Parts: sequence; C-alpha cells; structure tokens
Amino acid sequence: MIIEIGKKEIRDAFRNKLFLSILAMLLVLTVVSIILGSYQVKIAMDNYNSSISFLQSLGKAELPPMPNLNPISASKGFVNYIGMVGALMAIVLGNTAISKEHKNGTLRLILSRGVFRDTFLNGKLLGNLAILAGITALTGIITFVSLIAIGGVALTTSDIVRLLLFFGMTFLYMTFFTVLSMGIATVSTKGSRALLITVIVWLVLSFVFPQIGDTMDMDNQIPGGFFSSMGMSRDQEHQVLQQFKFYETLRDGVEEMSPTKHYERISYALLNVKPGFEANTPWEVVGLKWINLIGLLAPSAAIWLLTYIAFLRRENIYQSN
Amino acid sequence: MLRTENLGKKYGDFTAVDNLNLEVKEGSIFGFLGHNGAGKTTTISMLTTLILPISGNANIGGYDVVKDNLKVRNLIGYLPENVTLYGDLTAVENLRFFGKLSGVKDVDASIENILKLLEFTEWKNRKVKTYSKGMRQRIGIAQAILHNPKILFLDEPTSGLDPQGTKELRDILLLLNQERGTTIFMNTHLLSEVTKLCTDIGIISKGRLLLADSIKNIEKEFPEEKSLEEIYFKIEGAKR
Amino acid sequence: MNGIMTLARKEVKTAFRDNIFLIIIGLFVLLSVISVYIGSSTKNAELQAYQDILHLLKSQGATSLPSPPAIYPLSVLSNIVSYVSMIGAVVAIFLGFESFSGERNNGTLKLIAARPVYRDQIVTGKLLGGGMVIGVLLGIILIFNLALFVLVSGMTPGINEIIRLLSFFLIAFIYMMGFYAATMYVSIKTNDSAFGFMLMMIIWLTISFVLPQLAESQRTFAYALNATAQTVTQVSSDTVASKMTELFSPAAQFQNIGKDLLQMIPETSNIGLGEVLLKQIGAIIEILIPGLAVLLLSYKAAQKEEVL
Repeated sequence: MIIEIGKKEIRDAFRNKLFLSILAMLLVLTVVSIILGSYQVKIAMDNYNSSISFLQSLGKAELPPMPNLNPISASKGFVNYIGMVGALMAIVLGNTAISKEHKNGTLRLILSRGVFRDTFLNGKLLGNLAILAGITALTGIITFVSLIAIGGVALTTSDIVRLLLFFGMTFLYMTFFTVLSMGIATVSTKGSRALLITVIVWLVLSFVFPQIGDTMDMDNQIPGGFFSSMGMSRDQEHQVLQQFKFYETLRDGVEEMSPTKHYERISYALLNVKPGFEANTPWEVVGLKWINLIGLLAPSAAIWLLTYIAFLRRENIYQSN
Repeated sequence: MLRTENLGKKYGDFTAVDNLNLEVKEGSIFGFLGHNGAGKTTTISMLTTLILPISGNANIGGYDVVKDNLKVRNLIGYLPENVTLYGDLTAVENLRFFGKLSGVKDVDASIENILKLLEFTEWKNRKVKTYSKGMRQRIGIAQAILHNPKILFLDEPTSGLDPQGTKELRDILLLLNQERGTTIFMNTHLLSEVTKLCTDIGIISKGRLLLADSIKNIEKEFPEEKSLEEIYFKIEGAKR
Repeated sequence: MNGIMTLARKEVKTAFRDNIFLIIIGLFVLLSVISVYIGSSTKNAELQAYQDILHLLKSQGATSLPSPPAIYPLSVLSNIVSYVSMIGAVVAIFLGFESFSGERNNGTLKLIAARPVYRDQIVTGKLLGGGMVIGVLLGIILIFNLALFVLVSGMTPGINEIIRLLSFFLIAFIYMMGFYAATMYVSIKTNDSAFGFMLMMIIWLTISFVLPQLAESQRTFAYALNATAQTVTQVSSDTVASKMTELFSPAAQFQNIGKDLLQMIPETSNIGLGEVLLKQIGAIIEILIPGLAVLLLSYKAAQKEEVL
C-alpha cells in the first residue's frame, strides 16, 4: 500500500509544471557549474603537463611535484545552487504532495478506502524522497562523468567517497525542505497559505540567517577583508578575534539555526573547499563535522514527528478542502 | 427596459449565444432558464458590458451596451455567481469601495439605508470572511443596488444557499421590485425559484432562445401541463 | 481619477489586513533595522579592533602602523542594499501575486468591471495602490535607518549623504515596483495564484541569486584561463561573459548602484550625486525598462475579455 501511494506521488510530480521547470533549471545549473569546474581542473592539469614537458625538453631531471588539483572542488558552485534552487524545488514537491489532495477533495477519497493515516503519510514521504534520491543520483552521475570526461583526472578512492558523502548531504538537505513543506501543508487547512508560510520560513532559514551571519562578519565589511587591509597575519587576526569572542559566538549561533549553513559547512569540508580537512579521511571529516550532520538530520526528524502527531490526531481533516 | 436583437457570441468555433432576441419590460422579474452551459452567463456578461457580442446589439434603458457601455454601467446592478467579496474587509468597507466606484454621492448614508433594508446593520462591522454564505449573498445584493440601479442582473443567486437563505433572498428581491420598482433579470436552472418569484421567463438551450413570455401567457398556451416544470421539459424536449 | 484613487486605497487597505503580508513586511522592516544596527556595531567593533591592533603592533615593536580603516558614514547602512534587493523584491511579489487572480476568484473583478471604470484604470489603480504600500514601507525603513544611524554611529549625515540616501530609496522604490508590475502581469495571465506566486519566486531566484552566482563562477573560470595564458599579472575582475550575465539581472544592477550611492566603493564615495548617477545610467535604465515593459503588457492583457 505504501508503495502504491509512493508510486502515485512520483507520477504526479512528473506532471507538475512548476516542479519540472525548477528541476530543469537545477539540472542546467548543475551541468554549467560542473562543466566550468571541470574545465578549471583540466586547465590546471594541462598547465602542469606542459610545464613538465618544457622542463624535460630543457633536460632537467628534477621535476616539480604534481600540484594539488583537488578535482572534487569543482562541485563548489553546485553547493550554492542546491542551497537555494534545490530547496525551492523540495518545497514545491512537499507542498503539492499535500495541497493537491486538499484541492481536489481526494483526501477524503483516499482516507475512506481503509488506508491508515500513517500509511498515507509514509507513502507520500517515501514517494517524494524517492524523487529527491533520483535527482541527487542524476546530478551525481553528471558530476562524475564530466569530471572524468572533461577534467581528465583520475579520482582517488578518497575523492570518490567524499563526493558520495557530499551527495548524501545534498539529499538530506533537500529532504529537510520537503518534510518541512509537507508538515506545514498538513497542519494548515489552506494549501496556498501553507505554501506562502513555507516560503517565508525558507527565506529566513536559507537567506536571512546566513546573511545576518555575513553582516556580523567583521572581515566582510571592508572590500578585500578587514584584516588584510590592516596588513595582519592569520595569527594576529586570531589574537584580535579572541577579544570579540562573545560577538563571534553570537554570529555562529545565528548561523547554526540555518540548515543551509550546516549543509554548506559540511559540504565545503568534504569537498576540500574549506582548507584544513585535506589530510583527513572522508569519514573523519564527517566525524569532525558531526554537528552539521545533526543540524541536517534532527530538524527533519523533529518536524516529521510533529506532522505525524498532528495528522493522526486531527479530526477536521474531512471538512477541510 | 432591455432589448436584444440577434445578439450573438462565439468562443472559437463554439457558439455560446445564437441570434438572441429578447425583451424585458420595466418592473418585471425575468427568469432566464437553462441547463448549465446553455449560454445564460454569456448572455448576462454581454448585457452587463463585460464581454463584447460578435453580432447583433443590445440596449438597456435606451443605451447600447457596446457604444454607451459606461452609461449602461450606471443603470445596472450586477451580482455574479459565487462572489465572496473582500474577506479581509468589513461589509461597510466593501460597500463603500463599490459605492465609490459607482460614483454614489453620499455613500455612507446609502449604505446605512440599504443595510437597514436588508436587516443587516447588526453585523456590518465584521470582516466578510466570517459571514455565512447567506449573509455574504445579502452583502452581494447590497453592493449591486447601492447606486439605485434601474435593472439588477443576478447570476444563479441561490446557488449554494440553504432553504432559509433562499427564502430570505427571495423576500429581498420581491421587496426591491415592489418598493423601488427595480427590474430584475436572473439566471437560474432552478424551476422552483422561477415559479415562486418571476413574472416572465425565457428558456435558453444550446445558445438559442426557445421561448420567452409572461408566466401567465405560457400557462394559457400549455393548458395540459400542470406545472412549469412539465412545460419546460416539453419545450426542451421538442426543440432539442 | 476618483475611480483610480478608490481602487488604490482599497489595495492599501486589503494589503495591511492580510496576515501573511504583515508577516513578510514585518520581517522586511525588522531585518533592515537589525542589519543597520549590526552593521554599525560591527563598524564600531572594527574601530575598537583597530585600537587593539595598534597596541599589539606597538608592543611587538613595530614602527610602521596601519592607517585607521576608512569608514564612510553611509557605508554603515550598506547592508540595506542586499536586503532591499532580496527581501524587498519578495515583498513586492507577496503584494502583487493575487492582485488579479485573487479578485477573479473572489468574483470582485467582475463587480469592478461592471462599474463605470475603464479596464486600464483598474491596472493604474492597482499600480498606484501597490506603489503607496511600497512607498510607506520604504519610508518607514528610511526613517528607522536615519534614526539608528544617528543614534548608533553618533555621526550626523551631511546634505550630500542625505541626498545620496534619498536617491538610493528612490531607486529601491523603482526596483520593487518593477517586481510588483511583473507579478501583477503574471497574476493577470494566470488563474492559479499559487502557480503565479511560485513562478515569480523562480524568476526572483534566477535574477537575484542564480545569475549573479553564475557571473561569479565565470569570473573564477576566467581567472584560471588567464593563469594558463600566463597573463595573471593584470586580471580584470570583470570579464565580458560575467558582465553579460549580470546584464540579465536587475538585482545585480541594483546592488551596483546601491554600493556606489551608499559609499561602499571608496572611489565613488566623495563624488557628486550627478556623477554617480551618470556612471550608473546604464544600470538605472536596466532596472526601469523591464518594469515598464511588463506594465505595458499588463495594460494590454487587462483589455482582454478572458481577464475576468
């Protein structure tokens, strides 16, 4: 039964114009950003190779070592697109899952067929998560193929695991927004209102909180960075920042409230965009960034639980349409 | 009061209204009967100047609905089907808005009068979204008669109303017709409404007018049939 | 004219009665105030940090000391630029997405159209009403900002600063009205207001986020290309492609104007207003044109019978 409801969700989603247009946009952005990234890797490779052959032609025996190309950082742009576009897509998916049943009055039909409410809700979640998983897998394949075909690099096992983990995080991130919008649509009686509220929540979580964090970042306030304009080294910067510990904690606190920030932080660590994690194994990175993983998982679980309680207990479900 | 000559409207290949010739006398209550999709709403939309006919003409109070559309709009009051008004505004605020758009001089005094007439003063400062369907329909009538129109167009006015609301609405319409002399043109597919309220009827099917006359004449013409319902089905059946 | 004013006043009244809209404008006003507060206290913290740095360097025996950070008064308010360009646009979308589709569903559009007003007056009335709401919001933010500016930074804005600030709010108004007009057009064309709303959100996301981001990655790409060609010495931060990409984004243009007006770019911080506007004339036109175009389309679409 759950599978049947799930399958119906998948069929419906691929008839939803809004979902399809956002999906198309996301895929185009994925392709563009990955191709640009892969070319960057390829150019760096070619550059190295040509200088090697140049040096060899001069008869030098001592060749410079291969620079750290870090091919997986080609996905950096993708993180930003998922942060906004992926989240919006997940919201559309989750909201229509519930609100279409309200609108068509089919909620009564389904519930009157002896389907338990929990089965109904689980089936919906399952179907939509399957869609998200499919999209994540598709973007993953695009990434791997273009890195190898365009970038022309051989990925190490560690690179592959890091990328796979990164796509896992992407899935978790989108899941949060699907669960959130399903939850709000379930609790609210009017589908269109629920959508507006979800969009507001999304704006606050994905845009406002990170933006406040940025604003509070002292280093951000002067073009080129405050500390470098003062001609300070990293060490000195730390020394000064020590004095503003409370301020920094507050900034961090604001950012911790945003799943988008959690996604960004763990992804940048996995993709080696943020320096300092190159020496760690992929799993060690996840271990070090466990708080971000929790930040992605816990809110989804909590919201799902609340939705469950609200939906199973609600008595007026038959009247609302 | 109202006369149409060969009035017609097409949507693409579909003929919604076909050569309609109709006359509604001043002071009458005209019931325009027909199935869903027969062309009633299209007719009312042309008469209320919302859409343009593709053939023929229509005039209301001596003004052409196309050429003198703004003058026609001053003469008519209109209540479409399923109007919910501005839910976040109160009845008075809704009425003030529509009254001003119609150019009513002393809006607030007119609103007071009409709310008294409709016995609605008690709830006038509540937001419209808190009203029942029947209450909302009364405010719908109020906005349509605020500027004291000569003719009132109603599209399925009783749809969705319970028996109590239907009766209240009927009483209001009779009151308007008798006290203010307002001519009433209403679309309906409910025969029972027509028998209780109307002086004249027209029957439309697939865009064509099958019959239009006063109820008295029709009853004379069809002595065998016991009720309007039987007459209706006889005509509909015969001309289909 | 009376009809237009009546329509406009109704728009204002219904907007301020709508709970969801109140939430979003509350957010907008609150955020812009908070951002200015944070911005100015960050500036204060920077000045304090500068003193600490001086102490540190002196104690380490350094002889050449950095000069104090250049802080132009208006740059304290600079965060407002990103809030208006992002949240301001969303406010305009929330305000306009039901302007026609909502009235169509209420049946009120027919009620208006059956009254002695022309169809174009309906559009004008809505535009005016939307303009009044947006104007009031920006006015509130302007006053709050000025007050905070004086209170927190302790500086008094000179005549030059006030003129710059006013011009910025005027351009912000035009920018938000562009979004409002576009949303109104979508609302005329679609019956499903949720669809229209999401469509505008996608457009918004593309304009304010995706395109600037693409331009950004294009820049890093160009940097890599230049590095290969060994011309790394003089890399301009703007490439033709990134400029082209930004051309499609009124949000990027708005931010460019905002940065100049609010003294975030040292080079343009002290030049006259006329010079700034002249420098950004292309960007200003680019904010105006799409708005005017959708407005004309709206007037045209409103004449059609299907609009009811």
